[in-house]
Formats: sequence, C-alpha cells, structure tokens
Amino acid sequence: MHEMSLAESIIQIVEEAARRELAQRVRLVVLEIGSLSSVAPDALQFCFEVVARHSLAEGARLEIITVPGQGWCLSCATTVAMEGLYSPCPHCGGYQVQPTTGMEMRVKEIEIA
Amino acid sequence: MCTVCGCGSDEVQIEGEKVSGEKTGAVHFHRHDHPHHHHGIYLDHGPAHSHAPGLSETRMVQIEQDILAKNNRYATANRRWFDERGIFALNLVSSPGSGKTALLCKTIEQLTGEVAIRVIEGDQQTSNDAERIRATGVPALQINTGKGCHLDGHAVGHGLERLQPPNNSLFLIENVGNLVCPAAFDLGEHHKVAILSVTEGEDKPLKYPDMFIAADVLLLNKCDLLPHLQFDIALAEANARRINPNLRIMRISANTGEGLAEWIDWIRAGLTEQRKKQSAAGPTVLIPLATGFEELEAITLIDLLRRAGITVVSAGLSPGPVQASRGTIHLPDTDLDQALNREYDMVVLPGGLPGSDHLAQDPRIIQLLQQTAQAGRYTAAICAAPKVLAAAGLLAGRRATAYPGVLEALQLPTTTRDSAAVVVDERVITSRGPGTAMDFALTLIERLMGESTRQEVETGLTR
Repeated sequence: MHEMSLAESIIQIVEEAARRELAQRVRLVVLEIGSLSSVAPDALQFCFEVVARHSLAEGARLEIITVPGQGWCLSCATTVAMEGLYSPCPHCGGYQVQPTTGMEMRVKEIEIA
Repeated sequence: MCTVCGCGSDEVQIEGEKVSGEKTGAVHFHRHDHPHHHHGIYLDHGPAHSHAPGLSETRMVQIEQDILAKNNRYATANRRWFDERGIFALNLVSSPGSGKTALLCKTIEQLTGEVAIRVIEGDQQTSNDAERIRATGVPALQINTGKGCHLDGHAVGHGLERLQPPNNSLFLIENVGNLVCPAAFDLGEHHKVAILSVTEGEDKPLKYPDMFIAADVLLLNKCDLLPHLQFDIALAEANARRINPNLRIMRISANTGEGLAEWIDWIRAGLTEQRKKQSAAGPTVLIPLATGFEELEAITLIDLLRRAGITVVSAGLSPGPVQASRGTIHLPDTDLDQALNREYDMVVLPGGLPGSDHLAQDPRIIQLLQQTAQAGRYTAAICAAPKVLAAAGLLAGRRATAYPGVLEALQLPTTTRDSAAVVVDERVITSRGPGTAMDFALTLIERLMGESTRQEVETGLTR
C-alpha cells in the first residue's frame, strides 16, 4: 500500500538516531512488522533501498521480523491466532475477534558504525 | 526547504507550489516533539548481530519507535489546533469516482450561511477539485501529493496555515481517491467518513476492510440509481457492519439530495460538540524560556499554574533544550514559532540573566507582548524580566516591581517603582525575584481562576 511513505518515515527515524549516536553509517535496520498491518514486506524492502540512497542508511540491510497476528475472541473468551485482520475465529467461526498483536510497525533497532 | 520543520524534500505541492519555508505571515503551529527514546546501547549482543573482530566497530542501538509516530504527532497537533478553536474536521475517503466532490458541493450548499467552511482537496495531480469547491464560494486549498497515494498530517498542517480556518468552522478534507492507504494516516480529523457509491460492488467493505474499520460513518452514495442497478444495498450494509459493527450508515444521493438531511444533522451535532469542547477549555498561559532563564521562577510558575488547571505552554526561543541560569537543562513543550500560532490569555516571563536580556532582544517576544496587551490580556514578569515589559513599552504610566536595581537602571520617567513582592496594575503584573515566585504564581492564578482556586492551590503547597 503506502510502503514508500513508510520507508521515508523509517529512514527519518533511522537517520535521527544515527546522528544522535554520531554514527558514520548504518549497517542494519531491524523492523517489527505485524502480519495484520497490511504492509507488504517485499514492497517495503524495495522502497527502503530506493529511499535509503544518499542517506546514512545507504546500502544498509533491512531485516523484517514478522509478528504473528493474534486476537481475543469475545465468544470463546480466549486468545486465538488470526490469519487476516478480519478473519473469523478458528474455533467458533465468529467475527467477534479483537486483534491484540500483529498490528505493529516499528523500527526495533539499528546497527551503526 | 522549510525553515521550521525541514520539509520540502518530497514532492507534495500546495496550490502548485512545493511545500517550502516561505513564511506567509502565518507561522507554523505543528509541534516537533521530542519523544523519549530508549536507546540503550549494547555491543555485540549475540550471533545474529555480532561483528567480525578487527573490522571497524559496529554497535546496535535500540530504537523501538513506531514508524507512523511522526505522522501521528503532526495529526495530534492538528487535532488539538481544531479543538482549541471549536473546529469540526472530517476526512472524506473513498475510491475515485464515488462522488466525494459532488457531495462536498451539496454539503456546502446546505450549510452556507450557517457555518464557515474550509476545504482541503487532496489529489495526485490537478487543482480541478479545489476549483469546483471555490465555485461554491468557499475557500479551498489543493494539495497535490505527486507520487503519494494519501494525504498526511504534515501536509494538512501546512494546509491549515494557508487556509487559517476561523473559529467554530467546519473543516472538510477530501483525501486522495484510494480505499487503502489513507486508512493508516491520521490527519487530525474527528471522523473519517467513507463514501461508497452503489455503482461499486457490495463486497467492497470485505475487499478493502481497513478503510471501513477506520471510518466512523459510511455514506452510501448515488442511491437514486438503485432502481437501475443490481446492487444489493442490504448486503453492502451487512458487509460493512461485519467489518465495523459501530459504523453509522446513511443512504444518500448527492445528486437528488435524498438522505442528505440526516448527514447534515450529523454534521450539525458534531459542530455543537466541538463548540462545547472549546468553551469548556480553561485559560492558557505562555511561558517563553530563553537560555539563562531563572529555573526557580520558571518551574514554580509552570508547576503552580498547572496545579490550578491552567493550560501552560512552555516555549524555547528555538527548538530543542534550553539551559537555565544555574546550568540545569530543560526541554520546553514547544518552540516559540510554533507556540505563536495560537492566542494566550496571559504571557508570563520568568527572570534570570542572561535569559531576560535574550527575551528583550527577540522581536517576536516584544511583538507578542504588545499584541497581548492591546488585546486586553495579561502580561506578567518577574525578577529581571520586567525590563522586557519596559522594552515593549508596557510599563509606561504604570506601577511595577522587579529585582532591585533592574528598573532603576532603565530610564522610565512615567513608571512608578514599587518594592512590593507582587504588583498588579490592571493587566500588567510584576514581581521581585526567586523568593516571591510562589506569591507571584498564586496572584496569577487568582486573576485567571479566582480566589477559591488560589486558596486551593496554596493549601496544597503547605506553606
């Protein structure tokens, strides 16, 4: 979807942190992306490379940790795995499932030199 | 490049111009917050990120920051700006061709004369939509996102500076026609309103669920065409409710006006709600912090005024931390340029040297003091800072106090010097120094909030 803007935000966050730490360059950027967050990792990877050009993160490796989706099923009163944001509960088949994890879009850490 | 926020590197254009730093009388209001980062540093934390010995040393820095945090901060600033002014803001989202612009024109037609309206039009290219809106007589601003597929909080913030929507107005944002991306980007609106035309499929809510969960209202548009279509409107509504059980659904036709009364009433209710919010808000006070301010006075003021329920904004003369006169370092709420985009019931200057001199030398401070006084609002200063009031011409013909020697050193033939702890002369309030900071703050509380609030705060201090 909007991976280009997300990549721009990531580079901003990374560059701010790298400057604060007086880094010469950024070697690695680690993201946590929830599987329900509707971010396409391949597209993000591509956009990241494009946006990273001429930044401290040029040539940096992008590592994406996928956080699996989970939700709370109101009917079953239990935590269930969620495949998609609006997929039914795997036990009861109902749609009363509130996502609890899997929506993350975070820059977790960076490796700098 | 934008001198305040450093923007201008992307290709967003407002009315055909790059978003740039040309200041147009209006000043930036969006905040550049400094969120607290956890950046614990550790070396070589395991096999996954270890580095070969002998190579230049690398280290891992933890960031733990949400990718959308920056947009969300801009959006939050926008929303606060709307709330302070009693403005009701809506973000209209849909696929291209659902009839958003026609609906806007119709909405404007029905509300003209009742409420001031401003519109932001977001499209990748052209200013056709803004021109359609302007033809109705309502000021509209076109934002072209170029390659971007959605508006963001930052672009809308710049749009607000240009449009300067009046208090208690209705602010309508027509997002880029796109059922996917705008869902993730908060603009600071009060509600997202999704528009689905009955010439689209009933299963759109299932195909593009993000937008229907992000929206609070769904307008089913072009309902006048239903007799000619195979569209199952009950199924469309059921699909939408399956995605978002709280969705308010209205069947309308921007073309014939069918169903619009419900929509217009819903907007009216939102406007009323926003006005209540504004009138419920208490007084606001600005405390500028210049390098070398007296921390004992500034912190006493901020602390006591906030205890009294007053909204206090501390603003550095430039972005970033400020070092006080005794070497302590403080991070103000915002910087002066951004703080100046709203009005204050009172401007209070803490003393300290060279802080007071820095304030007196800043033309923005002098202008702010003069405007505040002209508007019949309070200006106040303590310790060495009454000299700043004098520099703005506000002590002429008045009784005032300050740190011993400060007023004496100035040529103020019409000012009556007083050695009292706190001197109130109409709406100009002065005080002596660090030792009188509490009395000064309590006097300000009494003026803004009344005697009983002062007593309440004073009791809590167990003096």
